[in-house]
Amino acid sequence: MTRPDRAAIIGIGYSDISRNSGTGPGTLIARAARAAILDSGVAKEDIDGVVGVYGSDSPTVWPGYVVDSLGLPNVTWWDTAQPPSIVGLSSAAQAVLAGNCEYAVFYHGKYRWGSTSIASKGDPLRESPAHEMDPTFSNPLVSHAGSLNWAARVMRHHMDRHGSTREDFGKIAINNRTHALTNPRALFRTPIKMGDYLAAPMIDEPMSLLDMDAPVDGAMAVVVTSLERALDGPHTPVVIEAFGSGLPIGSEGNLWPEADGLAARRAVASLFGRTDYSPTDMDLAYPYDGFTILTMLWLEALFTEEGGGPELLRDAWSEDEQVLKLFGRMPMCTSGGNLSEGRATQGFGSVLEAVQQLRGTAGDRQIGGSLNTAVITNGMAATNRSTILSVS
Amino acid sequence: MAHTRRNYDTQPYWEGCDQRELRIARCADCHTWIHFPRGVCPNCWSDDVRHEAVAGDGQVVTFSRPRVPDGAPPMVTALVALDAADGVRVLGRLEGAEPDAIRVGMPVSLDWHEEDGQLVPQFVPSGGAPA
Ligand SMILES: [Zn+2]
Repeated sequence: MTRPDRAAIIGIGYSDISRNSGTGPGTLIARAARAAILDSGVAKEDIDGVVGVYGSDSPTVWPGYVVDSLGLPNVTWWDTAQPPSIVGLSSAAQAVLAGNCEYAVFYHGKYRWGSTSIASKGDPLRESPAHEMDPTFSNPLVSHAGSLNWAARVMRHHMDRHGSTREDFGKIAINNRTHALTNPRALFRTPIKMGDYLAAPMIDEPMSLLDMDAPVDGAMAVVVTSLERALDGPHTPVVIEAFGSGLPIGSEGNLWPEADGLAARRAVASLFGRTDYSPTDMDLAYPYDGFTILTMLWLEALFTEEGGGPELLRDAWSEDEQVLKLFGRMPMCTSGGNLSEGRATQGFGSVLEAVQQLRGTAGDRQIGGSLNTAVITNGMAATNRSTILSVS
Repeated sequence: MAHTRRNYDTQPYWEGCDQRELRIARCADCHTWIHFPRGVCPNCWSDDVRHEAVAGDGQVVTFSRPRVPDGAPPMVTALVALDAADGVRVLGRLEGAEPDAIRVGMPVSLDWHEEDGQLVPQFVPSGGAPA
């Protein structure tokens, strides 16, 4: 057989995203996968690969469960991946490129388990799946605080080292919220301004409610195939140009607040090193925004030096429009990101959004002009995968 | 409730905690400190890893102040670089300091705190334990 040399996204889908879906995680994932397959125009008999995120971080359901849920009769390849979401997308794309399957559906779901928010702790129908061995000794601290987060300490570390301010991080939160106003997937669609940001309650000081993604119920999915097969589909194929990752020694966020920036720089170098592009060639930027500090570190890795993020943001800020335009032109997180869609996505909303923007089907939030490329960075030090998508 | 979970790699650490002793894993061949404890030395790949009791003085690398459930006492979590074990950092509560007076780099000392029946390390400002 000849193996394909390029993989493309041909279908996208998502469930409702909400704080309280009234359904279990398996149903949300089935709905997202169903929507992606329908969008791709591929018959369910032709889906032969199923790949899902099924990791140690709040597990949901495994590929066999999805095969049963949708009655997929001809699946001969499956795989699972740790979060964040693009790790699973890369597994699906590589399965296509290796010839292990022709049409892979990849899903990512997230659920507001009792362990993920104080508000869901008492709900017996949200009792968390048993977790592995607490290898980082954080259970006694979580037990007391309920919402303890390493990212807050990474944020403090950046502020102390580089003089970043809450106003700098606020620009990220406001940009994303402004873009979310026209995104029907987004859970948070009330406009915010700097005063709102600065007044938000602290979750883990210096990290406030508006610096983090809220736990939600929801799922997203795509269908991936070879570019050659993709040309037969109903949509403009969105080509996956490359993947990249960085995994430094000392990646545990609880101990190494330096690690996220280092990993981001390595990931960006590995990603762009596998293409002929450089970051400033991109038309659209989707730095991961599970926490605003991670967006800051990804932006520094993509576009400036360590500690240069605050200045980059100040130069990019449009007070009139309440958005960031990097270098005066490049929009960022045009769907509002995790901060607006919630933690259901773990960055995958940015993949769906980039596909819609590059297809030219983003509706009210379609960015004008010719759009050919998008970079999506995804995750943190211990677990990250980033990608570049394109249309020609 | 999320209790501590022990396994064969981490049990020596927790047994130390039970006796108010901070025990950090160390390679017996090349003397590299290893935290969190693991059974293989990341530097020389030796299997001969043992635990040593260390003094708990150090400096704050970074810290945060998490929201706590209604009625629970406030807390600060601090990441502390130990003076006595090169490259080792321990995450724990920081007690007995005015929150606004906490700074990156401030010297702290080891103390102990009981959470869900388990003694765990916490820190206090050097030269002054909490009342
Ligand atoms: Zn050694």
